[in-house]
Amino acid sequence: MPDRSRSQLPDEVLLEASGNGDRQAFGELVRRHQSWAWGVACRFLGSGNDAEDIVQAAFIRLLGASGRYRRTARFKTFFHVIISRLCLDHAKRKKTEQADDYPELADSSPGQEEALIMNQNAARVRRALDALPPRPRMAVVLRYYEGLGYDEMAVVLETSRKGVERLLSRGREALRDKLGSR
Amino acid sequence: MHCRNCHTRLSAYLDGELPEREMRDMERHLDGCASCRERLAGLEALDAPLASLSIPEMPGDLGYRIMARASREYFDTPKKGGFRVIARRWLGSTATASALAAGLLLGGLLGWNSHGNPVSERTMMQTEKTVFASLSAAPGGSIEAAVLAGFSDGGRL
Ligand SMILES: [Zn+2]
Repeated sequence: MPDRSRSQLPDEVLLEASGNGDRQAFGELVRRHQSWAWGVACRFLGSGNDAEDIVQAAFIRLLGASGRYRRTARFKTFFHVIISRLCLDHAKRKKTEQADDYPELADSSPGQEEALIMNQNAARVRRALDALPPRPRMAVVLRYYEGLGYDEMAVVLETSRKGVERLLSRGREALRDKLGSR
Repeated sequence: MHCRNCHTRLSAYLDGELPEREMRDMERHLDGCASCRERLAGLEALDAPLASLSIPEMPGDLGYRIMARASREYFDTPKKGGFRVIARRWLGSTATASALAAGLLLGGLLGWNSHGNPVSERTMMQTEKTVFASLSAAPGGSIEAAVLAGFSDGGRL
């Protein structure tokens, strides 16, 4: 594939080429999508270090799954599924680790992350998000920051539209209680 | 509509994601119910704080590190179970996949892998079946079916 053409090709074609060993096609996908992938992981996890691991792993999984990708699914939906699964698995693991080994750690490791948060208000939002169970939290991230509709969210969160409704409703109610608006 | 039913739908109402009829029912109820309107306003008021959430800047070399890892773990690694890779390992780089398939059909070929161990014909047939099955897997019409079809291979992405 000639170099210049890659930047004009749709994601779906680039993914297939990547799966067939075209590094530059994959490089173009990374260039296009790393930034929002970073956003999803950071907003869900609240930590840049963890987010970097997740984003790297997500792109590697994307490559590994490229052979099973069908063009009837939007690339972005496909990649959202991968990232949110990794994030949710990470949250599950972290919870188990904390429950097993570090019962005190849950709310007391601001340090580096806190330094990155611009102001107190944002820190309050961060804590409120962190307090949400993983799936409602991911629903909030996908809706507020990724602007996904319920149909797409249902695919990404592997549930029904009703399931999405419930997750978002639960997340919002909890956020409202924490953030004390009204 | 009871307030309790209204509460559970407020979030979807806010997103305009309810069926048209339910949207109208909600509007009617909200018109006459100050307490549910207040609850709705509480959800709407989340927009501002959520928008204020900042995230750390993306590391400038993230893309580079992804590419390095992709090279290590994918591009420079032979694909496990890949038909052409297996054919090459067994028969040397000049053999084609079709030669292997023909050999299998004749039943006269016993494969040897790169370590010199015999590979049973059954194993080879199974590999071939898997490869062709994955090639012909066709998803249904919906995004969901397509995505899930994409993930049905061992269930893990
Ligand atoms: Zn009411």
